Amino acid sequence: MDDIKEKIVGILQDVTGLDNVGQDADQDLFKDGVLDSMATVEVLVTLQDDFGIQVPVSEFDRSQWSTVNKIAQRVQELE
Amino acid sequence: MKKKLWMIFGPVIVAIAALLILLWAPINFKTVTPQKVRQAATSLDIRVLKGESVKNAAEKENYIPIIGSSELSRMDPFHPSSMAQKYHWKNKPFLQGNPGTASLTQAMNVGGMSNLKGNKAVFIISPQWFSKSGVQADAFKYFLSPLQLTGFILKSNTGDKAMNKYVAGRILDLGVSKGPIEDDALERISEGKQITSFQRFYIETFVRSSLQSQDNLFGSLSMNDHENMINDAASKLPDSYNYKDLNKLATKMAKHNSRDNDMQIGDSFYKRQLRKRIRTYKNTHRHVKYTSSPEYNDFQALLYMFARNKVEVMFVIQPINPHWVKYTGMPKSSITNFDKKIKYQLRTQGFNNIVDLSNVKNSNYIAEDTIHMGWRGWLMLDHHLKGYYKDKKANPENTQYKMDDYFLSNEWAQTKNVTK
Amino acid sequence: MNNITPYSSPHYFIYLMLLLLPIMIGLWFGKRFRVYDFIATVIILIITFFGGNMSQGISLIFYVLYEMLLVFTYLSYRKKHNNFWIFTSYVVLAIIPLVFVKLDPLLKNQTISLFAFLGISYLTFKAVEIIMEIRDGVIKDIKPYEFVRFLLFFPTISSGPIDRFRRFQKDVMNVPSRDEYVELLHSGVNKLMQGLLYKFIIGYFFGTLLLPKIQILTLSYKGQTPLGLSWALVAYMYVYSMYLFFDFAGYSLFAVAISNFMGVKTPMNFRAPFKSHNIKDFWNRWHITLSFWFRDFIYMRLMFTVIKHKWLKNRVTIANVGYITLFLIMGFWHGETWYYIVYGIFHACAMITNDAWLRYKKKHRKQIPSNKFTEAFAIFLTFNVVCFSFMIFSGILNKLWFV
Repeated sequence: MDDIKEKIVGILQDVTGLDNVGQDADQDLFKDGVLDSMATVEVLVTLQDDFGIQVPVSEFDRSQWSTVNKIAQRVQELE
Repeated sequence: MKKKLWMIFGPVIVAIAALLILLWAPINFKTVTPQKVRQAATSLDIRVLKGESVKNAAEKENYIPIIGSSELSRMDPFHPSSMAQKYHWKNKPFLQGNPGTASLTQAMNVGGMSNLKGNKAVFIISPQWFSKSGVQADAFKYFLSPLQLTGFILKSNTGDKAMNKYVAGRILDLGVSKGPIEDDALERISEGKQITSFQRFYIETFVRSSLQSQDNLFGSLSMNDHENMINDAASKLPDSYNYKDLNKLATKMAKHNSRDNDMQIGDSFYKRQLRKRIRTYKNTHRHVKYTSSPEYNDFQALLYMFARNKVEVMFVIQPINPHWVKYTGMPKSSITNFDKKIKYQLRTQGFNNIVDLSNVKNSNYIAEDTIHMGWRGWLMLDHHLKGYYKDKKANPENTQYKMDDYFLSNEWAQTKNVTK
Repeated sequence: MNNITPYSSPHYFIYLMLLLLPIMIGLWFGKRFRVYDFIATVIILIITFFGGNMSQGISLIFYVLYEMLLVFTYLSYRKKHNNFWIFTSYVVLAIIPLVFVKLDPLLKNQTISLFAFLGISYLTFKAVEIIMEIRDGVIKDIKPYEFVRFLLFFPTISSGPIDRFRRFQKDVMNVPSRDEYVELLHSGVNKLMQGLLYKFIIGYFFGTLLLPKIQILTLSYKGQTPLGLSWALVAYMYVYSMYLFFDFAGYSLFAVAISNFMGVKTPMNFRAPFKSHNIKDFWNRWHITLSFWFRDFIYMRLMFTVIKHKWLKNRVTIANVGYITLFLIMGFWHGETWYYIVYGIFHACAMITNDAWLRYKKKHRKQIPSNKFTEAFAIFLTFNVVCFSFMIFSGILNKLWFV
């Protein structure tokens, strides 16, 4: 699980170019403006490539993908 | 839980109850004060035209209505409201009319002024109303007052049957729809039937009483205000009344205000409405005729409304700027034929007080722009009004009208030549 | 009798409240009367679409049957296959009626306008959403009556807010507890009252009392000044913007309030849009359900495809191409006139500029001050940019220049 989280934080940092993303694993990424639609799509595509999972856009319920912890949980479920 | 429900719905229920009381309770809200009436007399606010309470209050004071259309807003120093103020006429004009009001709108308006009974009025006729197609449906609908309409429906068991039939049918033809019950009632009147007692009950208790409360409450709330304009206009007049001097002054002022063009059209109007487009009007009125129009029937409905209340009326035929007539190529006969026909309709029924400004010897600066009287035109009218405004009661000898419903027929509307 | 436009007259509210009463009493006692819900819906639809000329109502029936045919044939197809082109054809077929209705002013064809009815756009959004989610496999099953109930949910039928099927389904399948329902009633009454204030008092003031006067004044400069421009046009811009917001937000509040009374938490459409800090923020606060629909079903899908297939490399380019596509579609959706299209392009440019500024700001975080004053300036600037775009949207320039 920690492995997954680390990877996700890496992806988030790559996409947003912010170094402090993921310091708080419960930070709401949408509310705080870390992820916009474009960045979200990039994160999704990278997640698909890196973890080999399928995430259709309509599966992407923002409330279930809003923090690093939640993303990690969803990824684990889909893997 | 009950308390919670009350906390949620209580305020709503209280608000609804308050609204119902405000609109339907038989309370007479006294919002019309003499100051309000004075303001309303020159405000030309559409709510004044469509309402009833302010005008009926004015009839109890020293006002005589001038009923017309857009010319009323040409408030130069010689405008009757300005003259009446400056030279302390005993009665003051109460202006009723807006750009787009014509005979039928004013028939409904006059029908709603119950306090006009036995009093005097002035009515300004515009030849332009009498076009081939008559009043535009949109304009009529815009000015149609739901309040006056309910009044008309409820009074349909009195007055001339042919007129009621005509007006109801005409309103429906113009595409008015104010609700299923009102529409059905109009339908019945237009077929010459009495309205049903349910229709009377519904319209009287539910519709009209609420509209009356609304008129009382909001009819004179923050109206347009032209009092300063009138004060300003009046201040430009000399202290003593002398027709010859005023005539000179009117010419001088009008000249000063129409330097932009050689057609004696006011500069501001010319600049705003005409300068860019003037050429497109050249010779466009060569075939204009004002002799066959459904407006003649609407006008007859108006006459019936005056006759019903024994109102003494001075009719004024509005002049057209002679330079404009020439420029647009309108034949002289268009106007003389119109005059002949409208005067025939008036005189044969006993409306004998007619001031015809469309045919005067010296017509310089008679209009403020193209088709609206102003400057010398107003002054000429003032000359007639001065005496007329001395007394607001109608002279019973002048209200012996002999109404003829032939004038409601299409045959009359289309008659081109009137044989005397 | 004529059609009654939803939420436009006292009559409508009286009929609505009478019809709602049994539903509300039912929910209070923890029951949903499914049959009654259906009957109430039919009555409201008759009042809205079948008064006088029935053409709107008949179009509505045919439209619903047509979309139903599409959704259910696609559903049974999708259970076995998943071809991209079949999916695309279904989406195209689903929007064809709307496209025809929208093209009508261009074609001036009388027969086409027969297909039109109030709210066709909003029903189309819902139908397309269902087809897309069937493809994604998140809607696995849907019953015909569920589809019709969702599509024809009457509080939102004429102009949204645009709900999502799965969210809606969760609400109607569930009966709220007494406490939850009291909360819903509370929020419903508040929204209803706020809606009355917005639409019938403030909206009336701006739209009915002020706007016509200012429009006449604005148009009086036609041909008098270069391009007919005047200060009156500036006044028109603000008054129109206020009217647009209060009228539409008022309507949306009614729709949400009535939904709440029926135990459905229809999402809100506006969240203080004039307090937006930038144009992106604005689109998260203005006509929210529409912009989120566009975001989820057009923008994000387009981005997804472009990035996945690596059609474009530069992420700035990708985002900008996305904006232009998105706002052009939104412009065309509003109607086939030049000013709606320009309105779309204007917003695309505003978004692109905004993104560029945000990138610049990120790089120069130290040099650019950020305080109460800059925040106020950002709100002021955004507000004016938005009002300017509404001035384009209003069509006043068309009247000033071309008509």
